Amino acid sequence: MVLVTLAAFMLVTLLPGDAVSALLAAAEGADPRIEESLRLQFGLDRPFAVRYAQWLARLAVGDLGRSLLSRQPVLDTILARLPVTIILTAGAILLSLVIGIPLGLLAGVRPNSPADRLLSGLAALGVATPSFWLGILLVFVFAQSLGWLPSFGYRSLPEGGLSEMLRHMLLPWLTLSAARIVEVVRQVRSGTAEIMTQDFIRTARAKGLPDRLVLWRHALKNVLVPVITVTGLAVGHLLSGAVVVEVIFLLPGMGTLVVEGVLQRDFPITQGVVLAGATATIAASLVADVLYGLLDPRVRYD
Amino acid sequence: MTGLRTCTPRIAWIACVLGVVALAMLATAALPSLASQQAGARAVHIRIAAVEPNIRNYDPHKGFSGLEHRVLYAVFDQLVRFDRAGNFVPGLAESWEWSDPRTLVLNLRRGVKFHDGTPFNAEAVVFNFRRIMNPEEQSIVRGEWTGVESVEATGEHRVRITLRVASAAFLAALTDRSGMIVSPTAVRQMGEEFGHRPVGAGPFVLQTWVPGSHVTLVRNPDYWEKEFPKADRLTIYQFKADEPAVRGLKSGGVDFMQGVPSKDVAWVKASRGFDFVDRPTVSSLVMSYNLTKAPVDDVHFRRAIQAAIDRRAILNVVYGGIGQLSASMLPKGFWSVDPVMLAPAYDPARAKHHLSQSKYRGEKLSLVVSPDDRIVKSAQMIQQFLGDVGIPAEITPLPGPEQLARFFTGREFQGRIGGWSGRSDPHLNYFAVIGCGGSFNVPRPRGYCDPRIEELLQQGSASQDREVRKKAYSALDLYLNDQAMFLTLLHESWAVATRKSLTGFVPYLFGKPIYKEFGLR
Repeated sequence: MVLVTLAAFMLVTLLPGDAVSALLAAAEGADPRIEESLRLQFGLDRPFAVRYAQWLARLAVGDLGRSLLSRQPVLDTILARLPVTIILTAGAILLSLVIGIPLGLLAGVRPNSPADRLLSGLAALGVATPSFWLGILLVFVFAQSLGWLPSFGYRSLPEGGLSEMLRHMLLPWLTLSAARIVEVVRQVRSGTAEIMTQDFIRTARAKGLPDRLVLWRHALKNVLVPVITVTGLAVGHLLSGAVVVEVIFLLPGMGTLVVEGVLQRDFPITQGVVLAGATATIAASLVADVLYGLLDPRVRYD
Repeated sequence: MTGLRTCTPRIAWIACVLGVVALAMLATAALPSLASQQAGARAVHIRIAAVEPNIRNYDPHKGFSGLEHRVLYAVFDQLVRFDRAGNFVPGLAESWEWSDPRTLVLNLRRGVKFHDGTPFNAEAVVFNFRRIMNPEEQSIVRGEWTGVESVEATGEHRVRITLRVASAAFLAALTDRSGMIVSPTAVRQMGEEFGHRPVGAGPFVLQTWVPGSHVTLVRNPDYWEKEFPKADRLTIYQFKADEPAVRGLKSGGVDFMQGVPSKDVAWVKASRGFDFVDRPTVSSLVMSYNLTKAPVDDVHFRRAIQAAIDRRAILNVVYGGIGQLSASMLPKGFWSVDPVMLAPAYDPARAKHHLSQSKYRGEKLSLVVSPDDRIVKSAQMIQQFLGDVGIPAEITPLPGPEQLARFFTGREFQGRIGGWSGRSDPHLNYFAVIGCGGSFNVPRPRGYCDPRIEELLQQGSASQDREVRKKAYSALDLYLNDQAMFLTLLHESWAVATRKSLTGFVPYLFGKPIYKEFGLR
């Protein structure tokens, strides 16, 4: 976590071009004295280590600073944008599990069957597809040609109700989750294929349990452990993917926020978002660890 | 329900719940929303696609880009407006009189309130004027006020402005940023946050602005012009580039888009839902210089550049022939433009001749370029044209704020290729770009000052007689073309795709949509 804060701080302060010159240029007749006083105000005159320490100290009390442009607290800005990104990534995770697990089971139960071959082929294609391209393709088909779904924009619940929100989120979810679905299918497939040959499955079958029950009750539980691992690790990927997807679909989340932050040299915003993203990634792997314990009695944390 | 019977404890249970939730989501998503359709029948909601990267704030006195005006006109009302013919007409100022050529008296409209309830009166207007004139506020339009000696409230609804030198064109400034009146209460309360939560007295209230995503404007129920705004709600989607905006248009998600790329014009024309409007605007693609730097300080070198560039080819290739070539900074048909004046001709042989007369020794010309698809393509063509006559040019795309920091301050680059969104009055155009102290004259704050230009600007702004003014501006155009100080490459068309049911869109020469007039049939 300490490394994360250091990286977030350095990443932005080492970027070429500083905010004061960008800010001041907007105003006519930049007076050198004003420039100097702004630099003092932002603390840009002090050495790197001092600025980092001060930033950490403020961070500890939840103060991420203020945006250089809007002058609003960074924390408030991020909190206002957070729900969109959470809905986007959580929806993508949900979609990847709901679509990926049944398909993976289907492929894994009978390895090398036509269904398995088809799914594996599609999975290979899915891995090779960049999300921005897929997003544009989905928009072309579902929004432009068929006209079923909107191609951009966001409706919050109070603005348009549940159905409007879902209509606007469906394409972003599909775009973001495509690569995840593939990942889940591959994990579940290989896991299922392996488990189906094991003794306890044979025993269950020998007891006369129907295939369906064997699959759902005995096999799935074992298959889910690696799925949770990849999903936990995927949060980082999803967050970075969310930046692209939010820009494509014009969603008012953290992705568009960080892009604006970088383009406008608004470094407190950029730092804040990078930090929030990194924290979410670490938290997600923690949640995944806890879930193992729930699923697999052999995993116990002492 | 076999599916539910398999819902045995733990995992399967979780999986089932997830499945049911997901199914419910998909089902509701696929259904069109009845509720919102019914609401749509009552409230008029207009959706606009705008390619507006890098808007920094919506403070009329502190912004930078001409793209901000679309929202500024909606949120703020101007003291003076212009009609379709470019005549001054009353806005928040009900009337005005020149008590002598240096003294302008504004009679303010009564009973108007800002969105936050603050009364609009002389005190508020004087607060605005002093805000612009205060050097510490660093207003983008302070240059328009350097000729102002004093401002004072001479009554509850009366303001007197005293100029140092007679300037009829001063009134023009009050149709633009300088005449957009902000709520003093909101500015005092919010300080620098004001630019993100602007409060004016205009037809729309800015409800939300999510930078990089959208602006939501809602009707100001207390707006003094009772017939406006026609719409209850306006959402402006701020796209970073043409492509996603066009996708929004094609999917039917927007009602209006300005600046449709030429390759998509055929689609708009063929579509059943949209009309295409191709009308000229004052907005242009320009090449400007830092005239204090070698080699562009040399008139022969600049003349070489002027003759080397085939403007017609840029218009045809990059803009699909949609737009116009003018000999002036303003388009043909604008009242100040001499219709018989000839535009600089494309003549590479002549360019080489000029180059041989110049002091130029083959060094690289470094140009900053706005990172817009069409501008970058145009710049690449210019690079080619310049290379053909022996001028190697380097182009660097940079967003507006970086351009300000690195080019307009005079620190880097010898020239810029970018947009000039244009102003309603000729004086505001010439003064901003080439006048001594103009906001976009390089290097700031004073810029390059030329006595002949100052003289002609003074002649053009001293009189209210259009014929007199026209003579001055025609002479100015001739001088600028002869000295090749500033190259207007082409004037952009509105290139608007407007939904057939959208009413109230008028393609003013001014080139900036007036959202309060937009309605839906």
